[in-house]
Amino acid sequence: MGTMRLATLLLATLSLLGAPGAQVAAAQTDAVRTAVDPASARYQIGDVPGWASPEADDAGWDRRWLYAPPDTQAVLWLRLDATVAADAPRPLGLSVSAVAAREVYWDGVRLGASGRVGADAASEVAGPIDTLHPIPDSLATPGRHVVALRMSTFRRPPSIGGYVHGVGVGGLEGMAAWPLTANLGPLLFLGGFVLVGLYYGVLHAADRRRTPYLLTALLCLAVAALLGAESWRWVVGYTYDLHLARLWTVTGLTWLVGVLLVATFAVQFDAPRRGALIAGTAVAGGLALGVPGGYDPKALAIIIVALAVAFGVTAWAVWRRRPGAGFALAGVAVCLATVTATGLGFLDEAFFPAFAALVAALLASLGLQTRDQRQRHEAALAEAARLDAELVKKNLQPHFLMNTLTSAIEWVETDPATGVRVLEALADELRVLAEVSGETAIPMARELALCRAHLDVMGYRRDVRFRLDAEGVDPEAEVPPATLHTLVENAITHNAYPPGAVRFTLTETRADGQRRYTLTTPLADAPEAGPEGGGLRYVRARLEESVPGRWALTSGPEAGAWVTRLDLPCAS
Amino acid sequence: MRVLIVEDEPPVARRLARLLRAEAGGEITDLATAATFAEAQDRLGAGDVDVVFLDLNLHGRDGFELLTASAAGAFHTVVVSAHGEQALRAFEVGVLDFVPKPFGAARVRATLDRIRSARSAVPATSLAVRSAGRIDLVPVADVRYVQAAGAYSELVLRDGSRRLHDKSLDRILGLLPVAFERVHRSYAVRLDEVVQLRVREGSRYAAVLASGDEVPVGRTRYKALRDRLGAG
Repeated sequence: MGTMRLATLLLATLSLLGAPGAQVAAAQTDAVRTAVDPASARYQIGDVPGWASPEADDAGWDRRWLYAPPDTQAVLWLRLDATVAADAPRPLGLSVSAVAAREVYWDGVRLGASGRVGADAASEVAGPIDTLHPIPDSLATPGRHVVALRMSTFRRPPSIGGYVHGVGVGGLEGMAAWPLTANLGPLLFLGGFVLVGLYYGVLHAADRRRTPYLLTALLCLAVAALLGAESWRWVVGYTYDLHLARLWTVTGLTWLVGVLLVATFAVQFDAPRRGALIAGTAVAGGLALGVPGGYDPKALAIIIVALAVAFGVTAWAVWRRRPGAGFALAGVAVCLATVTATGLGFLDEAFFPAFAALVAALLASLGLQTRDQRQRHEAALAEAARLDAELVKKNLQPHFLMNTLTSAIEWVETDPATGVRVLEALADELRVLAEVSGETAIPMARELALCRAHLDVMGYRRDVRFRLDAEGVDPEAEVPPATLHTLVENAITHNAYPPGAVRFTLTETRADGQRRYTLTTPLADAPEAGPEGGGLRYVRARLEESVPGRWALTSGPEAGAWVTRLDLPCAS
Repeated sequence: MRVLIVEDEPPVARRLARLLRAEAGGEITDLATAATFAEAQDRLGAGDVDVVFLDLNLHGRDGFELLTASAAGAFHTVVVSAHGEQALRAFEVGVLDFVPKPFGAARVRATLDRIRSARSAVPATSLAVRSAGRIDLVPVADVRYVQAAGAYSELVLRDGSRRLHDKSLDRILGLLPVAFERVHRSYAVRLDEVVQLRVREGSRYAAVLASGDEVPVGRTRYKALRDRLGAG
């Protein structure tokens, strides 16, 4: 399947493209931020307009790490030292990322704001979480400067303690371009995952029995949604009061991706107790939400749980020689190794490339499995054609036809009325056979008609009055064509019935969704012990074609008769 | 002519019996029917039968074993089969005729002619020989000459070994290719084996074979044999 290979190739290529792109973007960000010294941060709860001024006395302020601001929602000020190098690019820009409404000052000059700082929740207006403010060239002189922020965080959920994410100074142009350049890789991945997800969605719509296709589609779309939620902040942005909602969205989507990953492998490889496996992953992933230390450790714990279960499932599949399992196991192993190597950094640096590689492995294994299934399907089609040909041949074979004609001619010459009946019985049998050839299942009524026509013919040939009683047998229930017919045929071949009356009986019993047909044929005094002929092979092949693995055929002598039992599911 | 029909389908057996009687009623002194070859063993072993009409399907091992068992017998075998395509295979092991089903009076007449002439429609390429409870197929090409041994015959092979066959010399000769010639009441030789004819004292004749063996030649057959060898 060429398109599937294309999708795999696309994702694999993306995983190569994306990794270096993300790293370059991260390096640029670091360079920009070194212009502000996070260790110089000092906080003061309260609100005095003069605190914006570089000359304001902040000696008594709370000096603490920039990213660990005081726990308050009320108005507070933050002052920082910034250094502008002589060769700094022009124009300069000041970036602020914080879960807070704020005003931004540069040496006492107001550069801009995000929302409106308020004394209470009612008067505060939430603004964009990330802002970038141009610094006029006249103020961007080389040397030391003071950055001051007036903030309030009434719409900040208390669970978000580190509400100041960063303050940076750098070239305005580079900083303005950063959100897109840094997210180019993830956005490419997003497009790739959406395409592959839609593709598998369409494949599933075309063949609804292929549940692995649906799960793969959902997995790809969930990964794409996760990428979208991750990139949303930088590419689109939002007001700071929505930050927690986004964090939960990202965590929830991580959980969904983990569960879908396990579900896809479990269903694809037909793992035992897969319902429990998937539910267990969902619960374990849910428990991982309790991991302390923010949202990244939670997400990482969820991923580790899912990868561990997926590793178990794919390793089991390899052990059971499931087609494509090797690819899947390799993909999971690569992901697990990457997690081990990168730790918490996995989420920022390696998650999407590693996941793209994993999904590529998944697609490759799906492709192999599809090829395997198609080959089996083709083999089944060939088998069906072969069986059909065998059915047609059955009664056109010389042994049956020429012997019957010889008897018929004898009757015609010695007792024309009987001769006509023999020929009519032969015509009946051939007609029913022609009608049922090409079918894979026929109603029992047709099968019985076929058997009785054959018994008529054989009766004339053997001077035996054959009878087939089939009381209580559902005439509508379907059986593969000529199965009973073959059993009846065998009984006549293997028994030299003396002239007289011979009665065959067929009964049907039902239990536990199975129907059991019992055919009882009398044993003649001297049964010819013959090997199991082509007849029974035909019956077995027909049953396997019709209800694979859900039938049983046993036969043996019982109390002077040969008893054959055939078990079939009630609805075949 | 004593006939046995081995046929498990009564109408077919009746038909064959009826047609045989109609076409050769006066010649047939005994006509019996059996459903299987095994059932007829006693009668066949006792040498009470001249011709067996054997219903046969050569598909599978059983059919071929039955064929060779019958061909190894003292009697002649006529195969009656629904499988006309198997005729050549049947002739290979030495049967007198092969009657495909369905058959009519004309075909039975032709078979009767063949029985009367005692010559197979197609010569055998091997002979089925019973020995120590099993049946071997001896290639006709290996047979140097055949010698009568009472009611039986002895096949003398190129390697000098001898195999006893249940059939009489007459019946064996009927199955062999025309290259075999009756040179004496008790001998039939392959003509291309004969290198010289010799006259012994007392008006006795002998054929010298390539192997150095000498086979007696009947007085009445000497001239014909000499002519045939001279012409060949």
